[in-house]
Amino acid sequence: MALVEMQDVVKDYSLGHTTIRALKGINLSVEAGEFTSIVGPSGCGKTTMLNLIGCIDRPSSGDIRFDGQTTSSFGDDAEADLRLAKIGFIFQSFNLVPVLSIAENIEIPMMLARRAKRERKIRVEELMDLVGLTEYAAHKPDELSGGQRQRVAIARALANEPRLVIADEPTANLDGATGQSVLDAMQALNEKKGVTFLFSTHDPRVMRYARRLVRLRDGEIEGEEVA
Amino acid sequence: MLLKMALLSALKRPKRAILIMLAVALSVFVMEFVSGWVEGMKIRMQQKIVEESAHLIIERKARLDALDPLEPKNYIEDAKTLAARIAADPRVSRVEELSSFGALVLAGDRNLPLQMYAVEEGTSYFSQIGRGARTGGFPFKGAGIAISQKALDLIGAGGARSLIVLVEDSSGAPQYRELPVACVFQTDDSQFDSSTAFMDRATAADLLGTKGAAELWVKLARPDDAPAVAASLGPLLSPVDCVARTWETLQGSLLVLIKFMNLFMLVVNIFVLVVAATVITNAILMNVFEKQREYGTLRAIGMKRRQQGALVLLEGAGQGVAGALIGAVLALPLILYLKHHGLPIGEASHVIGAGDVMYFGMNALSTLRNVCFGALIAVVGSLYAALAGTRGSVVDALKNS
Repeated sequence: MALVEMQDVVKDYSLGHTTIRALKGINLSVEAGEFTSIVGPSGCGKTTMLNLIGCIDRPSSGDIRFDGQTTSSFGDDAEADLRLAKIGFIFQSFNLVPVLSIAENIEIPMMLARRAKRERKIRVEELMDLVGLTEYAAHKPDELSGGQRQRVAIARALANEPRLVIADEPTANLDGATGQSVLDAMQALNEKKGVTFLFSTHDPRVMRYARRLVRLRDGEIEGEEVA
Repeated sequence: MLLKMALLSALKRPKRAILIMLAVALSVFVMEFVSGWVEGMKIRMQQKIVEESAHLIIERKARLDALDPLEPKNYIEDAKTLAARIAADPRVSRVEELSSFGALVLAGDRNLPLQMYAVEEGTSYFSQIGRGARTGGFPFKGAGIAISQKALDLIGAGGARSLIVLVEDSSGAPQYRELPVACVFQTDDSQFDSSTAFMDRATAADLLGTKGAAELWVKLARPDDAPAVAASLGPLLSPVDCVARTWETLQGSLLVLIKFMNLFMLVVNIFVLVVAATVITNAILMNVFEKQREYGTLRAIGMKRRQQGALVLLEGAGQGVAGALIGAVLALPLILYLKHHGLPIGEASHVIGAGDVMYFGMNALSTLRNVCFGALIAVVGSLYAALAGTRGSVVDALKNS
């Protein structure tokens, strides 16, 4: 059974009296353990597709199944529970909570999942070690470089051991070398820990990292490539 | 951690946090000031009603509507016997004979009309005179007059040892007597001071040519028993054509004022609630809209809508509690000062039965209530912000920069 299955997924946005069709009947399967990139030019629907898979938006029509569950009919709380337990997010602009320390930022998902304090502490140390930021535990996000912040975001995304990590243009706000180091980290996690990554990009250098490329154009899948 | 996030989030935007805390602090300060003022007035009225005045006043029925209350037929002739019989009731703690009449006090070519009270030597009423005695004491023994410094100043008899008191006796003839000044007093009520004086009952009876007393002032162990005692005294009073009036009847206007003050306080509190809650709602709404992306991120990683609402509420309530405590801390020294030194507001307060100086009251329970109310204002203010802030979708929140 695929981890993610999209069947005839359509997403419309209303702008005043105009309806814009962002996704036009998407069919896609993502298996556990994949390192897949959704690529395409700006405005082709990459973010919309990731938002739908990540249950932070709902399709206008069609079905999305995550880990065997049809998520398109979920209510607010069920979506939040699914995101908390099974999905990790990495955002283009890192989206860390500025008033909390690095360790606390990583701890938030575990706290929301009501994991024991001791367990959280051990896991935070483990994750900081994994992304190489142990010495920055007490620092605030604005004391870190862009690459370090994105590493924190990766650690946060992995906190509750999700089945899938969704990364929307994770290197877009980073310089070439830093972006590469972030992708290296993601790739290492995929290979060593078996974490499923689904990320979007329009940068050809980033695409090279993906083992599977899903090409999107004008809301439709144009084609796929498997490395 | 939610609490920490709420606290740090408030600290990250100090100007807005200060605005919210200031709004709450100011509200609590205003509420403390108003409740201190109202409390002071209530205490004053309570004193006037329960301590300074009779709980029951017994007098002749005819005196109630008489054109000339000094007519002998309007006096209770055998007042002592009646007083003794009333005092036999175990609910009665004291009965005093008292008469009041108009008098002129003369000094040189000046005179001053006064309301003269003829009181018993050991009277338990008019304690403010004893407290405000500058020379002599009150109640005094023997023949004499107690008069205020203000009245003496008005007739230009500042250091006089005796004064001439002129009255109209029960037959309508003028009578006068030179009386020693037994007490010079000054209360905090200039109107009272310039219009009231006291003399001994024997001299008053002699001057007026009356027997007995105009009124019997009855003090009860429990003021609330007044209607029941008045009813039970009926058979005793009817044969002598007397009637008992309770303090609730006599001080009806003050009781209405107390009710009005409670209503006034409620209106002030509601007004403060609306104004402060509006300020707080706007300030917290600005916070919420500025932090939309942060909230969107938290929602994306699994925070539920209601948890986000709780976070906003926590932030608002935290600032509300802090602001309320600051307001109380700022208000308490002022209230304490005004409790001991009073606020001079002149004769405006006479209408509510208070003196020239308005003494505030302090009540721990009302302070606690005001602090809780201040925090409640912040919670109410945050509630709308929490509802408005959690209304949107995660995607919309994340789009905010």
